[in-house]
Amino acid sequence: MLIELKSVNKYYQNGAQNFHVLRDINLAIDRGEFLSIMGPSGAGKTSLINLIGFIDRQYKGEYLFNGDSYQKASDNTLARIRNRSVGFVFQNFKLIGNNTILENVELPLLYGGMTKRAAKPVVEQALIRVGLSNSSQKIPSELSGGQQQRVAIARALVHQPKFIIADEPTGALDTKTSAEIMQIFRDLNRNEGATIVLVTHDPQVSLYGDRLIKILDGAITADEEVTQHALL
Amino acid sequence: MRFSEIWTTALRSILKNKRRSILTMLGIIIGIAAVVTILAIGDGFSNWVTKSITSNKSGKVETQIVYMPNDTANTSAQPFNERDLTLVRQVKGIARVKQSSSDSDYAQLTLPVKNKTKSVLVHYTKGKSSKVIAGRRLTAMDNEIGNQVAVIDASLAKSLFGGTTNALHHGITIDDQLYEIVGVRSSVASSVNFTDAMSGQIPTNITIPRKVHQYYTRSERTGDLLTLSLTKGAKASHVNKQVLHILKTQGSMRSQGEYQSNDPTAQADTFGKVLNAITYFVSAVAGISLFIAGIGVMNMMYISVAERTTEIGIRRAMGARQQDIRLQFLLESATLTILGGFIGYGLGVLLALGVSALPVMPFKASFSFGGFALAFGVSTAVGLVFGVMPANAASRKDLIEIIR
Repeated sequence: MLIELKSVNKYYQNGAQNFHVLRDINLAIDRGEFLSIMGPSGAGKTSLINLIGFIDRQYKGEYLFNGDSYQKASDNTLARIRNRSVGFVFQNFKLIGNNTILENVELPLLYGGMTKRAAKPVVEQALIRVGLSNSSQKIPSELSGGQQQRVAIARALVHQPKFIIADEPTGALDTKTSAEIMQIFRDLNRNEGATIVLVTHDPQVSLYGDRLIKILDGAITADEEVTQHALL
Repeated sequence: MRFSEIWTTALRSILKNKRRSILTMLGIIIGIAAVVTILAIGDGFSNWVTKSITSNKSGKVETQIVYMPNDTANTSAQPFNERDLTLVRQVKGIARVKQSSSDSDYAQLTLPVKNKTKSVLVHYTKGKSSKVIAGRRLTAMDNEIGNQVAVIDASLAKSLFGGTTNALHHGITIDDQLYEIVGVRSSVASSVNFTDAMSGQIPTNITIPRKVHQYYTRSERTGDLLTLSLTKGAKASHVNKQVLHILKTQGSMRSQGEYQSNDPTAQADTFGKVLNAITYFVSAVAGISLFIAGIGVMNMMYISVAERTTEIGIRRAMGARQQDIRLQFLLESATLTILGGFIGYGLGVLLALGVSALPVMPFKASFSFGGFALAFGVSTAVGLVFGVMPANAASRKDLIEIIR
């Protein structure tokens, strides 16, 4: 198993109130899976993927990644594991506005120790994969929302991570663009065997995945195969 | 991430906010420019002093001690005996002691002219006097055989005797002795400067044979002058003080006269003290300027960190470690101040050149590697010291809070 969560609980202290954000989560994700996590706002989706993506380690229970727990690992170890194993795609793209597309996409490679010179052809290759050749010298604000999200996907896959976490990747996009973006994810999963964990509250979007997990008030309420795939 | 890549990022972020960066740099620029200017002028000054007081080829500083006998003194006694010289040689900072005579070839005397006194310049010559317009020149022979003769200039001849030829074969009283005027030279400008006379053969109002003058005034002061060559780094004023103290308490002739020192660096010392005071003042102002500039840098860095919280989050999510973030902001602040330091250095050089181009300045500013290193070091230090806190704040930002 790539990712294994065993009775994970998370509490969130806000003043005197104590929120129980994740309730007894048991979840296993294998290599090559395309998993959608669906639920309303505040259900705990983001908390769950922050935990999976090594951003948050304040939880109770056990999270094994490739069989190892990183709960007590140092910040540097977590940074390294994020750099090597995880690709993030965010709802609002989260590109660095001052930097060119090239500089945005090369970040994971540079933090992995690559030189700018060595990173450049790899970045160009990743941009071609998301259908954005010849725009590496532009800055994010010169691109449309859909194009910016493609850049973010290129950034998430450029360093060949073990899995990609996509947090509402279509939340800021119109329906047509959403479909294009989701198509990219599906191609990545089908053609290259990329493991994808997708968070959404849009049922339509969740149909692109192979497996659907429904989450409500911090607990998993359903874990099923997606039989009726979205139209290609 | 590699150092060079982080630096590129830092540099770009500075250039992105040009106006803000330049305003923040202003304090650094002013502070560094002030320090560089005053250092260059100070160096130029000390070079000039060293050069002007070490005119001898060895490059060593020399100072002089002269013995002045009282009126009642027994002038036949030696001003300095062997024991005195040994004592002086033992003073720390003295490399060599040379004994000579203080007799000058020139003197400024006052002469009664038509009920008034006139200041005249007298040359005691051993050889020929300069060309005459009437009568004859003085010769080396006059000196050797002790002829009591004089050559005076035309204007003096006119005011004393009414004309150049009238003056010939008249007598003129110099130091209570009568000399026969045998020649008249061309008129000497009335404003004769004594110090100019020291520098070489210059026209004088009266010329008389040296030996004759010495015979009458008994001013045969042989060996009354000690020239002390100082070792490198020794301070002339300090050595003089010590030597004078020893001679005044133990000198062989201390009861019959006075010892005086002639310190060529004394004047330079006074100027140096003033310059030192100015240097301290400018350094203090520059220090305050740099401190305030540092706070400005800190403020700007805090703003920059706050503005770029999302960027920090993205970088952290992409695998940046805390030290990567810290280094990025630290380099940004240091690059900003180093840039300011370079601009300040350039400005300081221009200012120093401008100041040394002023006609009142007797010397040129001098630029050393030390000045450059200081500007570089100080500006780097300001950037690092005042950048540490914002950089730490940036690196400690909670990733969960900023990835939303």
